[in-house]
Amino acid sequence: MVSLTECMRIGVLIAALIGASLLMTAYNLPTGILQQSSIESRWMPGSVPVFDAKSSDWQRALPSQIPLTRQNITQPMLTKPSTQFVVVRSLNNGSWIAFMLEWEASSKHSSTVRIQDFRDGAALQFPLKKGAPPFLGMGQKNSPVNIWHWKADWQEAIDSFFEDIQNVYPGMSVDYYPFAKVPYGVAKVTELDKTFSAGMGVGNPFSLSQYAFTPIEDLNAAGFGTLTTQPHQDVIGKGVWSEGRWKVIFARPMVTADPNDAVFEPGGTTSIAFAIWQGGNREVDGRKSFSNWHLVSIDKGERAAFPVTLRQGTILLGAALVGFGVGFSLYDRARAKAIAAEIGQRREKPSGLALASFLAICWVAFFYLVVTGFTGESFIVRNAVLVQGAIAFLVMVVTASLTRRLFKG
Amino acid sequence: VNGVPKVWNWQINREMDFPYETARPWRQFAAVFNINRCIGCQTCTMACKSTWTFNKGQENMWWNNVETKPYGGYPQFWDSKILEKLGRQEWRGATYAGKTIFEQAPEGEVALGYLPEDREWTAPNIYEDTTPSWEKMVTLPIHRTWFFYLQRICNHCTYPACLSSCPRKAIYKRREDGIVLIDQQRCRGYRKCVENCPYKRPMYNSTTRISEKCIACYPRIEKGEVTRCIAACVGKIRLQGWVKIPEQAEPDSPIDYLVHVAKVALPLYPQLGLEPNIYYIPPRWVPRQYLKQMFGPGVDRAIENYTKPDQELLGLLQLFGTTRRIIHRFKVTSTHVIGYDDSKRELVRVPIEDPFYIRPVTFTNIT
Repeated sequence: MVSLTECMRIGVLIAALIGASLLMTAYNLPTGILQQSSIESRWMPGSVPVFDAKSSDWQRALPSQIPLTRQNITQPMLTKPSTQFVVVRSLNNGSWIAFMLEWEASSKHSSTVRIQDFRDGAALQFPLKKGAPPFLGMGQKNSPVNIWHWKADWQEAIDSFFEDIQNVYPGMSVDYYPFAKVPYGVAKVTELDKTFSAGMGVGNPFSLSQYAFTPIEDLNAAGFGTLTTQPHQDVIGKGVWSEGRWKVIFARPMVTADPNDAVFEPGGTTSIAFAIWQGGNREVDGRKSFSNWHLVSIDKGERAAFPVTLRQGTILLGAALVGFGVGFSLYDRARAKAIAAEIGQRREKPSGLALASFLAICWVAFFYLVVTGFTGESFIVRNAVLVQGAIAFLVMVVTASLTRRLFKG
Repeated sequence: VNGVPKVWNWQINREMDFPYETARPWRQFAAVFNINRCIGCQTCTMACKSTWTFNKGQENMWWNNVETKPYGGYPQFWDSKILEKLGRQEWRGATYAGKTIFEQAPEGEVALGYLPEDREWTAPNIYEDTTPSWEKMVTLPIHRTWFFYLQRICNHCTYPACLSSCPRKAIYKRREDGIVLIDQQRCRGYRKCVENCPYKRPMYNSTTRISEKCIACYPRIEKGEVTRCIAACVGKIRLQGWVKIPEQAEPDSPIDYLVHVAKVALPLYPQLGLEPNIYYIPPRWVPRQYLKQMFGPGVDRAIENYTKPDQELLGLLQLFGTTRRIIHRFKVTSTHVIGYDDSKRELVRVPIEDPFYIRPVTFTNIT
């Protein structure tokens, strides 16, 4: 038998748990079981969120926390540990696949104009051949890799404008730019004579980054020093920095016409490795934090994805809590009436309809919590299977007691 | 270090560590700069600038520069910075007993280096000529200050630190002339070359976001012409040619003669271990200790031989700055020095002693 005070106590406990979970989320504390070594690319209906890191669709994906170490295989190395881990989520809809990388970066570094400025960056690496992945260090001869490299400065050029020398040195003075349309002013980068801006003349993608349509470069490599930009660029995405974290989405059709692109088969698996560069620490080239090879299993979507998204789940839980309140007050009033009737020697059953409907909502909430807890779509806390399980358990205790009370009447 | 090839560096007279095996080019671009003759007019600097680095992103880029020693430097204090990092090192006779930048490489790096920041590249030459006693004013006749001009281009080293530190292998040394170039297609702007070249000749282009460096005017060299900085030299201090290793030195090659036979021309900071290929005739008036730190132990002999040249050397010194074609061979007669091209055709014939005229007293103001 659950008394009103007990119910209040339990309610306070639930509120405390939810509060703790929210706090843990806010401070990004690991709150439950995190996938450590394998990554699942979760199937979803509709279009994959390519440009929106805040899309609730990303809550469908199982987050995996991938540990990173400093690169110390080849020179130049990173001599001190830098980025500790990257949180990876993946979604696919059978024709497009997307990965979202999330890592801590206390400040944003997206300028490469001054000689001492280096960009933040992130990369994914996939083997081209099936079977055991090749050497982690950018593949090997006869077993190349496909690399997707996102750059903060390219992102900045797409999001706002291409930062040029006069933006960084507004007080600069230049005598004369031969060949420019206005030689005695500050020439536009597009006016330059490309023979003497050799990087532009030969089509170096860094020199042409003011024309980039994607912040992600599609590359191949077959060992150290062999990294080469693909003639056809297929990877799109977007990176957003806020509150000390980068969230970067990489997306590509699962199959392309390019034989040098990694292939993603629904229901299949592929190896994946990660690298993160912190521009503020002058991380560039081999000076990076990187992961070992991990496995991505690509969900085929045979099992229907759980149809409730974060927003719907929140509404459902809210409705359940409101239902709980309304139902309980109705029940309590009926019970009081019954007691009064008993005192007046008249037996009257408490109104069961309101209680039953309220309990039905409570059971739905419970099952929702359990199911989402197991599928990883927990909507209260990121990754918090255990916390959510505890909440579900408490909801179950309350609901079961009240149900028993209803039938005992 | 295990697994690192040992290469022979004749300038330090010993084997040293280098990430790659020796791969000497078929012939090596080289030049001799006679510091004694330089007037610091910067015509070489402007010739280079107006040919190669006038575009956007190259505002602070000077592939050729002339700095005033001991205080000047482009980028600022480049040599004192790398020497300080290297620490005190010794020569034992003609052999370098200290460590090169490759042997002194910190953990995880190919070579010792540093990345100069933007302010170190701006305003070259500013305040360089200001003497330390300018506040008190220099009192004559005791002149206690000294300075000299150091003319610098890329040394197109035999063991380039830029090349060996590029993780992309985007830098290569041409077999046909030993010129070191950055592949503008493969460069990804990592700036490792800027960091590890002790002479700081690779430079970062802020607009193209990749690094560039002195190309030794290779389109001119391919046509048999000397570089722009050498052709434009007003003081005729520069002579371009080809250098061989000491054992294969050819006495009729102008550079070989100056470097290996007369031994008047010395490499810049040979102790760094790169085997640079621009050679300098050291200035006669500068404290020897300073010069020995800069040009190695051959300074005394170089100045001695330069101060008392024999007929051959005297003749060869007259060939500097006489033609824009590359002189491959030379011959000194009793009155003239003759320069020849690749196919032994005569390029230039210069008298060793200029004819002496006595003007009538009424025309002394007319030349």
